Amino acid sequence: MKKITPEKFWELYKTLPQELKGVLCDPKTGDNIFEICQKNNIPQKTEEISDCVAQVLIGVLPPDEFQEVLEKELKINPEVAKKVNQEIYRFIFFPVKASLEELYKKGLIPIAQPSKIYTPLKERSKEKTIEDIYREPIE
Amino acid sequence: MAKTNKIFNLLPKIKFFIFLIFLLFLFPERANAAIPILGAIGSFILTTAATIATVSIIVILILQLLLGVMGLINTALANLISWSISPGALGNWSYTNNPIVSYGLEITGGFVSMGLILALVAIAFATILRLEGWDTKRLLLRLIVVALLVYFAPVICGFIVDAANIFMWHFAERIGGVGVLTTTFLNVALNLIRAFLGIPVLQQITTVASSFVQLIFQLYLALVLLMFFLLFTFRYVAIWIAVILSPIAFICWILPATRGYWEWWWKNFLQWVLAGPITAFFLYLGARAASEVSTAQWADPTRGFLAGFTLNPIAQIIPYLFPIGILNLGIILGIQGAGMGANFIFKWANKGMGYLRAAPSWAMRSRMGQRTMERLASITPGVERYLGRLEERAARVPIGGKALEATVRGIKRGVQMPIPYILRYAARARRVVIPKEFEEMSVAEQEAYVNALSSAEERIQFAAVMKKLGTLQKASKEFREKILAEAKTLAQSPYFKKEVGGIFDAFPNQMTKEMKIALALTPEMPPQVAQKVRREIEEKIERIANAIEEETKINPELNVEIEKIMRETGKTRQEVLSDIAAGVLHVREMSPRDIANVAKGSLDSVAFRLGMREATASKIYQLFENFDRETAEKVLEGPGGLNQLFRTLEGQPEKQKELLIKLHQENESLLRWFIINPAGRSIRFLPRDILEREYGTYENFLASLRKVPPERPKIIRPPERVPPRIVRRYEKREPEEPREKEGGENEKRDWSV
Repeated sequence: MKKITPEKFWELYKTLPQELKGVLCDPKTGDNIFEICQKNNIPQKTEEISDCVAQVLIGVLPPDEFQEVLEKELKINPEVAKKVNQEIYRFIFFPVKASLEELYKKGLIPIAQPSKIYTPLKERSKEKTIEDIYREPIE
Repeated sequence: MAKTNKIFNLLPKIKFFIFLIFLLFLFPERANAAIPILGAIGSFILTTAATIATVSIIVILILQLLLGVMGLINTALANLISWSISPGALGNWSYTNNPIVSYGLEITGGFVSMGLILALVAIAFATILRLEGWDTKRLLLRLIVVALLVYFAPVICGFIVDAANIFMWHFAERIGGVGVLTTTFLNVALNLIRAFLGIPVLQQITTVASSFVQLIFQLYLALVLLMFFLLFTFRYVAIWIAVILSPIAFICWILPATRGYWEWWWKNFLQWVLAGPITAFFLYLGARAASEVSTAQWADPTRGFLAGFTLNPIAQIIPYLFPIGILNLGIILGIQGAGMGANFIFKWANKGMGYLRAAPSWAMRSRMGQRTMERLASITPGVERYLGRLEERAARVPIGGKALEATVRGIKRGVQMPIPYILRYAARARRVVIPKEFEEMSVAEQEAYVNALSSAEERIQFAAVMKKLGTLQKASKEFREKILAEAKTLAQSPYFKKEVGGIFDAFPNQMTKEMKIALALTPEMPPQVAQKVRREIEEKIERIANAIEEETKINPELNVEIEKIMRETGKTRQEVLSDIAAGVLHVREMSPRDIANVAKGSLDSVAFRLGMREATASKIYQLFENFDRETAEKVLEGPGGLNQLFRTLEGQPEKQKELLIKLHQENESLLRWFIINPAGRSIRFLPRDILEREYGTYENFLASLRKVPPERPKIIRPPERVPPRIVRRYEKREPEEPREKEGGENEKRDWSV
C-alpha cells in the first residue's frame, strides 16, 4: 500500500467529485469504521483501516485490492478481513459506487458476497420460515 | 314582348361600346393624339351615338333634374352636419337632461334600489356559504360605493360627455369648408344644367358625359356627408340610451357575475362619446382641405392641365377628390379610433383602479403607516390587559355586575377582533420585496443598491439576503461596518432579530455582550423571564471570559492577541474578554450549516477559534467542506486554536495528557473525527500526535480512560422535614402533643386520613 502525504491527499482531494469529498469528510464514515473494527475485534487497526479507506476514496487504491491490503499489510485474519471488507463496502463504498467507478473508470467487481447479515430479497423467500403462532389469519 | 326581350339581352353587349363613347368624349384630345385608328373608330361611333343621343331629350331632362337635386341635397347635408355638431343643436335638450332621458331614468332608477338589495342579499349568501371567488369584503365595499354613486350616474356621464364635446365643438366652430365643397359642386351642376340649353345637339353628348360624372361625384359626396350626419345624430341617441342604462350598469359593477355587463356598457359609452370629437376632427380636416383646394395656387394650373385633356366641368371637380377622400377615410378612422380610444381609456382606468387599491398598502408600507400599525399592535395587548382587569372588577360589582362584565367582555372581544389584521398589516408593512434581479447583481451593485435605500430596516433585510447569497461577506469593509452598526441599533427591535442574528452569524467576532443579551430578549417577555435570561447569558459569558483569562496565563500568544484587540478598539481588558466570550458563545450556538456563511476574515479571529474548540464533528466537516485547507487549518493553528494551545504546553507531556483527556471529555466527537475520519487524519492535529505518542492507538487511549472510573459526585440528601399540621381557619389551635420516637413501646400509628 502506497502511503500518501497529507499534501498529496489534499491535492487529490481537490479533483474529487463532491460525493466522494462528502464521504471523506463525513463524521459518519469515521464512526462506521470505528464500529466495524469494534465489532470484528480489531480496534487496534482502526486508524490503519481508516487510512486504507481514504486511499480507496481518493483514487489511489482500487477497491478490489482492499481486502488484500487488509490481509497482507495490516496482517488481519483472512476471514476477518473478508468480513471487514464486506461491511466497509456496504456502508461506505456502495453508496458512492458510481463515483468510484467513474474515478477508476472500470466496473467495480462485486467482491462483497452477501453475508448472513444481509439476504437478498429473492433468496429470502426461498428460506424456510418458522411458523408464527401469534399471526392471525387474514380473513 | 320577344322583341323587347331581345333588345334587353343585347344591352350587356353594347354597354362596353357605350362606355367607350363617353371616354372618347371625356378625353377627345388624347384619343385623337394617341391612337389615330381609335380616333377613326371613335368618329364612326360618335356619329352613330349622336344620332341616338339627339333623340333622348328625356334623358337630358332627367339628368338636369338629378344634378340639381343632388347639388341641393349635398348643400342640405352639409348644413345638417354643421347643425348636428354645433352646441345647442337640440335647444335646451342636453345629452343627459332632456325629456327622453328623464322618462328612461324614471324606469331604470326604479331598478336601482331593487338591485342594491339583491346585491346585498347575494353578498350575504356568499358570506354565509363561504363561496369561493367571492371576496365578500371587497364586494361590500363596492356595494357601498355604488349605493353612494348610483344616483349621480347621469351626472358622471354628463361630465364625461361634456369633456368630450369641448373638443368636438372646437372643431365644429372651424368647419366652413364643407360648404365650399358642396357649393362648388352645386355651381358645377348648375353650369351643366345651363349648358344643356342653347347648344347644338351634337355637343350635348359631352355635357351628358360630364353630367354623369358630376352625378357620381355628387352621389359619393352625398353618401359621405350622410354618414357624418347619421353618426352625429345617432351619437345623441346612443348617449341618451347609455345615460338611461347607467344606473343599471353601476349596479352590475358590484357582483362578479354581472361585471361583464358593466364593462360592455362602459366601453360602448366611451366609444360613442369619443366618436364625436374624433370624427369632428376629420370633418374639420376635410373641410379645411376643400377650402384650401378652392384657394390654393396649385389648383388653377392643375385645373388648366386637366382641362387640356378632359372637359372643363370635370377639371373643376377632380381636385376636390382629396377632401372627399379625407372625409371618407375620416369617418372610418373616426369610428375605429373611438373604439381604440375607449379600450385605451378602459385599460388606463383599470390601471388607475389598481393604483387606488394598492394605495392603502403603499400607505401601510410607508414609514408613517408602518409606525402607526406597529404602535396600534403594541398598545392592543396593554388595552387587552386593562380590559381583562376591568372585566374582573366588573364581575365583583354586586348589582348589575353580570351585565357589566358581559359588556366589558364584549368590548374586549371587539378590541381583539382587529388585532390579527393589524398585526398582519404591520408585518406586511415591515417586509421588503426583494427583486429577483438583486440576486444576479454583482457585489458592488448590491452594495450600491442597499446604500440607496432610505431606511435602516430595509437595508438590514437586504443585507440578510446578501449574507445568504454570500456577497455580504465579500463586500467592502466600509459597507460591512455600516451594516453591522445598523444591525446593532436594530438588535433591540423585536421584528428584525432573525436578520440581525443572521448577519452576526457571518461575523461572529463582531458580537458583543450587549448584543448577545439584546438578541436573546424580546419585549413580550415578562420582566422576571427577561431578567432570568439576561442573568443566564451574563453568567455564561462571565464563565467563558474567566476561562479565557485563565488560559492567557499559560498561552502568551492568546494574551498578545487580546492586547492587540484592546489597542484597536480602545476597550478595557474586561470588555474585550466579555466581547470575545460573547462571540465564543455565539459560535457554539451556531448550527453546522451556518459555518458555511461565516466571512473568511471572521474565521481568522480569536472568538471563532475558541468557539470551534467545542465544535461538533459536523461543524468541522462544514469548515473543511466550504473553505480551503489553509483557511480551515488556521482555525487550529492561530492563537486560541487547539493546535496552538497544545503547542504552548510543549515540553510538558503530563499537562498535554491532561488537556487531551479534558478535550476527550468535553468534545469526544471532535477528537474522534481527527483521529479516525479519513479526511481528519490528513489534517495536522497536535492532540492526535500526542495521543499516538503517549498511547499508541485510540483504543489504548480509550482503554486507559476505562481503567479510571470517573468520580461520581456525592448526592447529599436534605434532611427529612415533617410538614406542619394544617389548621383550618375555623379550628382552634390545640397544643401539639409531643411525638413519640419510632419504635417506642406505646407507639400507635394513626392511619386515618
